[in-house]
Amino acid sequence: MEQYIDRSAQNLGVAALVTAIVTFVMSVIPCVGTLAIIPGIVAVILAIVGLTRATDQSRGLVIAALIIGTVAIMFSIAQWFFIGKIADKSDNWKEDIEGVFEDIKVDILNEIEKGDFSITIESGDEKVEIKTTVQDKKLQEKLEKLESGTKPDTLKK
Amino acid sequence: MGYSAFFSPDLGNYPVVCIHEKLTGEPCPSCGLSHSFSLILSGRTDEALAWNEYSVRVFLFFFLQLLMRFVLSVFYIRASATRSRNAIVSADIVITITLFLIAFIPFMEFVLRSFAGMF
Repeated sequence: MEQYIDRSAQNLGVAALVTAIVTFVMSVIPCVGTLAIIPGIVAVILAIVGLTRATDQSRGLVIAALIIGTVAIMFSIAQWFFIGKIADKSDNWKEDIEGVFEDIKVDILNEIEKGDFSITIESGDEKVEIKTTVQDKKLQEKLEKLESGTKPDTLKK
Repeated sequence: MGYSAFFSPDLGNYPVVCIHEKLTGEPCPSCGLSHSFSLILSGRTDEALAWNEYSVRVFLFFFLQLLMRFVLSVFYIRASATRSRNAIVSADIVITITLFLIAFIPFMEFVLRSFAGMF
């Protein structure tokens, strides 16, 4: 009976160790490492089951599998954290960009109301600034004055 | 290797995409490995190195491991004494760890640096 338990523990240990080593190799490869969490958990479960059945002879094998499997899971979790962080950051970037566009929209609308436009284009050291004044209200006032017969300011001289 | 042999580097029909590149727009150290492995299998090593600079050493790691499993198994079965078998296992462990570090250190560095950079 003891021999049977020892052999099953050893088989479990070998299975856990092989799974843990393969998982470890997977876990250190960027991106692929995220998938390593599944075989990593399998390796750790196999090792824990093996540890409950292990005798002194097979204990070393099972402990080695447990350690390698745990380290592999940690590498995999680190990659998940990293990818999660990037995803969060990219979401913020998206919101930031939307915010920038919203600000630009508000500025443009304000400028249109004021009648003053200013467009700046920068490329390296070169900078081109285009300023224009629509002055909708002023033109409207001039038109109203002309229609009413009074001379506008520009025609007074 | 089977995966790399199945898909064509000229067609670029690899189904796995890099999450890192998708999110950041910047490639990670393992980007282009599948492409490179396919190119190595067809003997185009220079092109493979252009796709991924670590591809040849990673490919060699897996190839040598495959070779070592066969060769060391034969040696292990033929060795009758326990001492000789232990020596074979020890040599296997040392060689494998060394090859693993040579092949995968850049990847490990990237993962650890990325993780450390989060805090």
